[in-house]
Amino acid sequence: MTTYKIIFREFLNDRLAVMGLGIILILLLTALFAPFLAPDRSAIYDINPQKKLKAPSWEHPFGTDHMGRDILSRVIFGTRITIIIAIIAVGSALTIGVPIGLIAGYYENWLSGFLMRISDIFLSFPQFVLAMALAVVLGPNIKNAILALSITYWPWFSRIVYAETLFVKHSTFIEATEALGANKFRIMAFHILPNILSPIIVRSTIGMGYTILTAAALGFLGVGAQPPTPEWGLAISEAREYLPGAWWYATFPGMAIFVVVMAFNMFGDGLRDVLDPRLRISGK
Amino acid sequence: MLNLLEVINLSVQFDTYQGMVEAVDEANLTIKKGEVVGLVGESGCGKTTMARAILNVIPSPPGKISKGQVFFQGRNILLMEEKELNLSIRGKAITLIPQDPLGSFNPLFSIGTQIKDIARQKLISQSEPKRLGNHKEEMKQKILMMLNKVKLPTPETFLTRYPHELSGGQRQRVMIAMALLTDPLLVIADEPTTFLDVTVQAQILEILQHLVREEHVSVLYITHNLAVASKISDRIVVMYAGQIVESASTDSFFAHPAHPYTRKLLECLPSQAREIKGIPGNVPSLINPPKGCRFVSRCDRAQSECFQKRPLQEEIASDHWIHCYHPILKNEE
Amino acid sequence: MRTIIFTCKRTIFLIPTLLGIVVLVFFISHIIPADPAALVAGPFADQKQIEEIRRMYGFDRPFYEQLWMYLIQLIRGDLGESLYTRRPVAWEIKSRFPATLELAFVSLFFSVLLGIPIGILTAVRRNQWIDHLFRGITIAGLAIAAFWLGIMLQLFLGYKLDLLPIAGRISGKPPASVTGLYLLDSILTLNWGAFLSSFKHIILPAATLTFTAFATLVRFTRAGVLNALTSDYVRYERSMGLSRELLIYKYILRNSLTATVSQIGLLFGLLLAGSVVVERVFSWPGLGSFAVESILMMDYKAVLAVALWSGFAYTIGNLLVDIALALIDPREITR
Repeated sequence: MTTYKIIFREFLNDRLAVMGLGIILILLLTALFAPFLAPDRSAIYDINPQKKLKAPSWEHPFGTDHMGRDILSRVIFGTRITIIIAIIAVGSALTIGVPIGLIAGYYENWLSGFLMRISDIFLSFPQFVLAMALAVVLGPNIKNAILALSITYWPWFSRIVYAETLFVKHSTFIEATEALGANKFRIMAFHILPNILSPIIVRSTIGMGYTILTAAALGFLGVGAQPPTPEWGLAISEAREYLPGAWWYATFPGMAIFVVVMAFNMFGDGLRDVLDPRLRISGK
Repeated sequence: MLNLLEVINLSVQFDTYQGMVEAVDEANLTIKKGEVVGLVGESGCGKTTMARAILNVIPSPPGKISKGQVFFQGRNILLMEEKELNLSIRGKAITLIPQDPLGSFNPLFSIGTQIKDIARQKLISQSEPKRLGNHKEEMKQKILMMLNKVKLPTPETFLTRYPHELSGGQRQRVMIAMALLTDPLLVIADEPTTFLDVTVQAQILEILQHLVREEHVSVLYITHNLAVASKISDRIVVMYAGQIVESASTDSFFAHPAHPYTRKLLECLPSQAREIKGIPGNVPSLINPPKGCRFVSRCDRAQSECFQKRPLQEEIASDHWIHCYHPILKNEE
Repeated sequence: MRTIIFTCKRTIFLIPTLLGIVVLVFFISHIIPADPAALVAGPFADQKQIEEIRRMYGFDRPFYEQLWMYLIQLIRGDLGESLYTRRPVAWEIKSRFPATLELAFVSLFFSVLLGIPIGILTAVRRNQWIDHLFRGITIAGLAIAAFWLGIMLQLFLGYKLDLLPIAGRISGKPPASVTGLYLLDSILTLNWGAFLSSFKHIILPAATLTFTAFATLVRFTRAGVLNALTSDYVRYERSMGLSRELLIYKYILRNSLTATVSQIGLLFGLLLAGSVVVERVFSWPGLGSFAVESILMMDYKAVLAVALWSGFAYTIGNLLVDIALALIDPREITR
């Protein structure tokens, strides 16, 4: 049995991980086909004062908000926002963090020390606080929120990549490749990187969940998405004014966040268990 | 004369992702009082597993002792309750010198704490915990005396040190001291010199030999090194792929090794007279192992019955036992 | 003795980190914005006022001069004035920090109280039903948005069932101030009424923070214990007949503690961060809600001051954790 087949089979054994993957796929499909899935396509931006704050019913399974908009549709369209924010933020953090970690780990000179120091300084803040400060200074909107998230998340990647690169660097096959005179960029990109992929992949998946939570918190505070964007965190913050009466308004967007983040966590956990036994946190 | 230890038809299995590993297959072993038995075999042949099975510390989710009995002083200790095992057997009547001295020490506690815990357990098993106070000083003296015996100078300084601060040789000496501290009847030494430098190996071996004679303990000395086994053992038992293949007194063993594997093994030892020889082939997988004798694939004397059923134990000379249908007998040479 | 040297060394190393934090915050506040003067002046200022502020604060000077001025200001304890309350930001931070600290401590306390034993339990009873149960709970804890959980708790336990108060720190007069931590102060001044009221008020916000934080503690403790259970030294200790109780309570506990304690540092950061949204939801008068109010007022100077302060607190917290680790694991000192 090839390694890939064993890994695949082991992964399928983890029911939670498979469930997580399933939910993620549903999420992606929902985001893709949102206009067709949402029962009331036009309602997300239109205002219908007569229909405002109606409790859940057949017509509006999640109820309506204070502008009379159908919450189910808003939640469905919200998946697009969520996915875009998560992918861009984590993707950018990856693109910055991985090369920095590779370079710092491979060249052990003053540059490495400098890069890692900078990354440590970023890490000496709770990420959310830093993201919040950045978002405020840049101006509250989605683009700046994504920027703030990327800038505060890349050090997590560079830290891991740095440690792993250091570890792999001293293995014999790398030394052999160097002795053969391969150029340094090739070594980093084609020899070291493939061997440290699994912690990167695991971190990215768990990072998606974490980023979605942070983005929602930024939205909740008003420094992320702005009205009338149907972002979930923003919706919860708008809902507060109408509590405790319109309980559905705050509940459903929050459940959406919960389900999606949980899916990413379960999937990431399963990946971690299967890809790299050294990192087994759930310890099966 | 009653045997101190009698292992009868012991089989150990491990349940893994790839299948059920038959790690030990119907092994038989006896050790008399005061006897040193060398258990010899390649890495992975099941020697350590057997040692763990004797102490009944095989980790139970993947592993289990599927068959067999282990009689110690006439009692089947596999049937004993955990509590009683801990109280009278493990670390008391039967002690262990592990392979890896660094890994076997708890890195967060000082050497002294760990030695004292082992000594104290013995005391608890003997007298009531309340009266320990009287014995504390006695215990300390005994520990220091033991450390002296394993040639650790100024033993008091060692008690406060941490495992990572000692050298490999020093650690192993402490392990030996701990194994003898509780006046055991049987010491299981699991490749005690494997992780040490060659120069240190000789020293440790010497200490071990000396103490064994002095304290009159029985020893199960596990090793992959025939030369070392010959120096220290009264009997030699050879294991291959989970099965015992030959068992004899050291003199008889080296005078006339009868099992094909043993022969090949001795030929592998480098010597100036011959070129270096190896044994062609590989050890069979222990998942779905061959039905009969497990050495068949590499044996040049194998015939059809060797594939069918495992050969039973046969005495081919005085106190020289073998599991083979076609042993190399004296008159063949 | 070695530990003391270790502590001194680490404390000295703290200074460059703190300096780095200051530089980073300076960067964010002075370099990144297109027009820092306009930001400081606030949304209600006119062009003339902005120019004046630019000159006054030196935004037209070269950046290294600005950095120097900023450092001097910090040392003098001058963090500017809050647009919202018109009081010095430093004063606001000082008076509101105890509230946040109390919330963080209580949450930390319960996270540890629940997290570590559950972690040990699920490791010892690995793959049995109780392990699966808590795995589910911890996965949920890590996936729930703290602010949403807070709102839900307010709705159901506060409104619907009317069991617990949903806002503020206390109903009635706060106890005489000794430390600023109401629970502690009310005990010290034997003010049982205040104690009861503070306690009832802190339950929901602390529960919110705890639920999201203890999950990671459980998982890491579990991993640490499992790691210890399968280690060579435990195998040796078992072979030598050390009793199970001794093994678990003395040896394994300490061995698994290293993973757990290092998590506590991280946890402290999560709690500081989480308290921003939780304080807002529960109207808890701490640093977090101050930050939120400042955001709403576009008072970015105050927000950055809070960020700076969080960085300091988090770094110092981690230093304490490192010292604790060194006490547990003697190998840390030589590392």
